Amino acid sequence: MIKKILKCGIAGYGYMGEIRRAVIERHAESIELVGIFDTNDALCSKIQGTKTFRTLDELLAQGIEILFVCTPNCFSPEISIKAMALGIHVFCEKPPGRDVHDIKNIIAHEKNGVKLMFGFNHRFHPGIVKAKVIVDSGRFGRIINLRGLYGKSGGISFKKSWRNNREISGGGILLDQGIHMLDLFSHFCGDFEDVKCFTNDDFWKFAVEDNAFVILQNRKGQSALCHSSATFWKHTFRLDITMEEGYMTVEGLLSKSGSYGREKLIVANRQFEDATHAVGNPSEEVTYFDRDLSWDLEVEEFVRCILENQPVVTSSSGDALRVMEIIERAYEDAQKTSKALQSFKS
Amino acid sequence: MKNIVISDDYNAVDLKPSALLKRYIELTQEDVRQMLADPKKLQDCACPACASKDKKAAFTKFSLSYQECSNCRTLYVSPRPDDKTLNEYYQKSSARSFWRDELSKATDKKRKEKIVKPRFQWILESTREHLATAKTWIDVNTTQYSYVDAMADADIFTKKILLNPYLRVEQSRYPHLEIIQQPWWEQSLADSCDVMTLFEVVDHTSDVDGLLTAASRMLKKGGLCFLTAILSSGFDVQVLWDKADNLYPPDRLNCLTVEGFKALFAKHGFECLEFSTPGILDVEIVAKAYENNPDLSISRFVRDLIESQDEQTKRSFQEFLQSACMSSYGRILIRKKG
Repeated sequence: MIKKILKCGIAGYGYMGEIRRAVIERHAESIELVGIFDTNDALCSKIQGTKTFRTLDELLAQGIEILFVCTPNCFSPEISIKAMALGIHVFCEKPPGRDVHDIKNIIAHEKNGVKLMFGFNHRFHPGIVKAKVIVDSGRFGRIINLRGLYGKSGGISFKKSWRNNREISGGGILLDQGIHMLDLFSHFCGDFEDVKCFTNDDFWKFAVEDNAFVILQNRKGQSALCHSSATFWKHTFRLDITMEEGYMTVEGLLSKSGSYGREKLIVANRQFEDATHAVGNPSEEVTYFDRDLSWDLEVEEFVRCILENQPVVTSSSGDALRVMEIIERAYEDAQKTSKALQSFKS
Repeated sequence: MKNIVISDDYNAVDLKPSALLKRYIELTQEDVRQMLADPKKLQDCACPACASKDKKAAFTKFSLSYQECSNCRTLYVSPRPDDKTLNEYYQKSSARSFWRDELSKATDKKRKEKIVKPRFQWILESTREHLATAKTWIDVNTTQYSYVDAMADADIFTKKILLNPYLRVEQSRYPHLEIIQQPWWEQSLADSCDVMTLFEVVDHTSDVDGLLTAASRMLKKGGLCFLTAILSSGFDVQVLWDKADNLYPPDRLNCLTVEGFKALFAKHGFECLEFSTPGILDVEIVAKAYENNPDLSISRFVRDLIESQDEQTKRSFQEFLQSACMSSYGRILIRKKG
């Protein structure tokens, strides 16, 4: 790879901004942090070891080549567009805005030569990487269906989070966390044309959903089922992949808190009456993973695309649009169902 | 780093039928007496894993002495023959001929299904996962002909090198393999391989430091090295110790622990990507040894496990050994730091 140190900045220094800074500092051989933009004075005064800026323009004027956009959803499109207009490569956290209109707007400003990637880091989790290798090898034939459970418990501070303010976020748990699972569905199976969904907000009673049940089907006949939840009192990540000749399960997720449990991949061959094991209870191989390199790997991939002038093909704007279209259609379907239910009750 | 846990359904007899194994060990004992036991040809050595000179005598087998490293608990023969002597042994010993011509052939079908196939699946998938651009694969000193067949079929590599002075492999039969019938220490390849396989090679190498130095030289930066080995930290070796049937020189000149391997890799600039002990035979090996020798000194707990517990409990215990890296079969993937 070409050796060059790319200057970069971070817009927004919340939870994700801190994570991105740590990744940048671990990759000092290829990227250098020039400064951080955040409008929160108290937060900026605590940042040490790099310059801080109260306006985006000040940061963009520092000659940066990459901008990491780590702001709440309502600000991401405008900031990304502004940076790209100046020829700055953009790495934007998910979700890519609040709705399909936002991501389409970003894509409309995606200029030739400027790289744009989104933070779908779950694609780079070790269990997912290995599962994808096995699917692509064709060892178990084609995927028949997928089932994903992804949820967290919320908590006391959950009520105050901007993520539950529709004006800022654009949606609830499905857009915030479920988006990763839906992105993984697309990662494994491509497009899904049919989308059905139920949502509810019965427990937290925010203006956004705290549970979403999404059912998908595509023209290849593959089906997928996703339950995204803010009422999983035990934090859960589980992706089941059923194939013609076997199955895989990615369970647990290496994370900062460790609350999703140890990440593991279960792999097994399908077994019928002709095999030595009992039907429905095949022997399994379980791989346990101890290191989450997902944040590093996705940034390395982004830097590689810039230095080698290669198109972004993983977590690209096309991937972002595809998953936002699924979510928008899911919300539309949930609304229709809800109206129908209300009408039925009345 | 990751580790794996496997449940499967073969047993030790499938892979090493008792009568054939007994004959192989008898031949080995005789060959060692004739070819390796001359004290004038043996040299003292430090721990092959962590280089500590602090050791205590463990036991003697076939007149060669096993030591236990006081630092990393690796079990190793010292004094020991050098690699040239071992090379000659493996080329001329009647035990090796018996292994190649009889034991290996008798168990070939089961080995292909239960060992070779999963092992090559591991190599191909891990290569796609960690180094998708890999083109060149070198295998060093495999003892199995079925590996050579599987290697020849692995089409994700454009260049495949078999570095092996022992196997009688005809180049004409394997046009897609580059066969180099030389020992590893005479080979001058440098920065030329993406992937290397060392199946149970560390176990019977005298100069382990030299082997890892050569491996590091042959591999490109970021290159992968797949190893398998018998571990002395594994359950059956720990329980049976000197009575372990699978522990004898020179095939197990070194029997490293998990800690020993990690020290060795750190010393040679390798990063460990996977350390698994997916063995499924530990409990069965101990049970078999106890059945053959009821006077065997084993703890009450282990005796209860093998005598009184049902198959499901034994299976669960074996899975626990795997998940805790306490089985004696080690499967390791390391990467040359770049």
